[in-house]
Amino acid sequence: MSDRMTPAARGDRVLAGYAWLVLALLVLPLIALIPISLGDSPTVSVLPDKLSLRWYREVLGGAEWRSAFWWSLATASVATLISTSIGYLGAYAIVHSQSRLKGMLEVLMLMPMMVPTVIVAFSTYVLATWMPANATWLMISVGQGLLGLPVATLIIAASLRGIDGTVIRAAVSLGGDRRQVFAFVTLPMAIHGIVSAAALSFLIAFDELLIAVFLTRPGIETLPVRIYDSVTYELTPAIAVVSVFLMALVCLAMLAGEVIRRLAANAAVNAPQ
Amino acid sequence: MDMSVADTEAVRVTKSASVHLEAISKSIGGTRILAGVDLDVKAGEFVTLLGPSGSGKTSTLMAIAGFVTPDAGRITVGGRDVTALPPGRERDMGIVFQNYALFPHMTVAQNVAYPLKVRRLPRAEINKRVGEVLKLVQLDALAHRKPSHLSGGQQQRVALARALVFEPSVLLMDEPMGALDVRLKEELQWEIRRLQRELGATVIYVTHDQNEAMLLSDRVALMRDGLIEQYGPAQDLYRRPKTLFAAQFLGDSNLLTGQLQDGTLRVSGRLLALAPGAEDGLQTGQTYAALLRPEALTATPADAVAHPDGRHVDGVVTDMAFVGQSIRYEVKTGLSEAPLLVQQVARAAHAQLAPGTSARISWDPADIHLIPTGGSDV
Repeated sequence: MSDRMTPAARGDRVLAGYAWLVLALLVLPLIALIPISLGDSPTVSVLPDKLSLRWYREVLGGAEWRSAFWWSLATASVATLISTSIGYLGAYAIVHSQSRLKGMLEVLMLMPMMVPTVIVAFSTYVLATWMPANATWLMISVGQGLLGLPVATLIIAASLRGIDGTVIRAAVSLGGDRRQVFAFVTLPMAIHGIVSAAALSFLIAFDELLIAVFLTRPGIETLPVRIYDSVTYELTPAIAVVSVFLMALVCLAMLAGEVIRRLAANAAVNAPQ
Repeated sequence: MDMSVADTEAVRVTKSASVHLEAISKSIGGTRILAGVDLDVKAGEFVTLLGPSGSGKTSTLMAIAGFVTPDAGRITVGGRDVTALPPGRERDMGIVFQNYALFPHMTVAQNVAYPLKVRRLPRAEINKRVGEVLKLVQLDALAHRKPSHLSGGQQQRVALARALVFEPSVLLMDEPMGALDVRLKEELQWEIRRLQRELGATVIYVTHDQNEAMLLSDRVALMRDGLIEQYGPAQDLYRRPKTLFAAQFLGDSNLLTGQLQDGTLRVSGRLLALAPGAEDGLQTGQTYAALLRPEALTATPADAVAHPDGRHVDGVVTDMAFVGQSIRYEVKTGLSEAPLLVQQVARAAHAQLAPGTSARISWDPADIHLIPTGGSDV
């Protein structure tokens, strides 16, 4: 290596080193989970004496963890449905309404972001006590959907704002009724925003702990609650296994998204003549 | 309408309807956008709303389309009152917007099929009609492209096809050539003209381009400050403008202000001869502006042919420009503050007059058109 580097080149190297350091700090704790999950003993160790898939068998084979995973999937899915659909309606009103109450609506839609989550959790809990017991899981979804609402609204509003108003005018003038304009024009043009909003709402709901803790009861336990409990009472590599499993899911989802994006781009370029 | 031509194209606009506007007015936020617009468009007629920006031409079009609700007045299409109808299927109008407003997520064919799809036509019928219309605008080869992969002119044709495919009773076009370059514009203008004549469609077209208006229209409605200033065939507007605004908006003009006296116009102490009948209905002693278009003037060297009195003036050439098919001179004379604009066909045989030389400008009194100045000077 030459000692006669320009100051700019040296600056680049320092910056690159710094970037790698930050990246390492962010990623290392996650990567460390992989060897932990492969341990054989019930104690958590970054460098296990013996590698085995014992905890994988225990977690993936165990009814408790599997049931927690399915509960999480169910509540998060319903929560996604709630925040995306209400978010779309709210966003549409915020973008297109001429009403003077519009500003108030905007604040209202963003409220769950400003109110501490524990308050949302508590009020959901109070509401749930008035509901039949078998609707509890639905109340978890409602609470989690509420948390996803602000982000969903903001993203969908941004994509609705991106639609040229004359395109909608054209759709109306050419004879489409409200439903047709929505189905054939608005929805397809806003679909990127809606899918992003749904994905983020799902992640927020899937990750959510407080509401689920407040509303948890025997037989209804989401994955974050299960993890929390197991950290509190019995710290084993099982948690590392669950974490690795979730990371793998996220990686797969991102990979799938990228593949779909590329396929779509290719299809657009190679459209038949 | 020439049905035999339309028949060969297989697409027929059989429903083309007349449009009638009666005292349409509209204010937005205290500003008067339309101040009582009256307009009569016959079935199958091509009418252009021409005017500077802010004159109300687009607002008038949008009122016909239903996107602007008039405060007062009545709009009828084929005798049917549509004033209160919302925009859309009931109004039965095809609209081509300024920026085309194509659906970016649909192919050309899907864009054109949309008006038929929302009307729930059978798929076979839709495919047949879309194919016909795309052939009509010469886009059948690009049916499966997305709009983003088309040129501006092609997008324009898609918008046109989409507005025509459901055979609307009226076709509305809002400055559809605004974003195109000159050559493409000319090509498309001829094509729109051809299509409109073939289909016999009623077209209401908005533009601020006077040449476009004259090329396309049966009649031109010149708009100013939310009112129609003058309405008639393009030739009338050009040759016999009723106001100074109309004279100056359409084409270049020389305006010479003077008093009407016994069959002549007294301009800066000189008497301009008028054609017989030119003063009919005008008041002797009043101030009028004589409109002489640049192409009605001839510039020759000052010592050339003699002309009868009142049909020529001598001056000094201040500028000369060669613009291909013609030569333009600016000649300073005693008749007006501004130099006279002269435009004549550029022939090799003609002597060119260099700036600084003196020139004689002559004209035929029949080319003079008198406009009331309303007291104000030009």
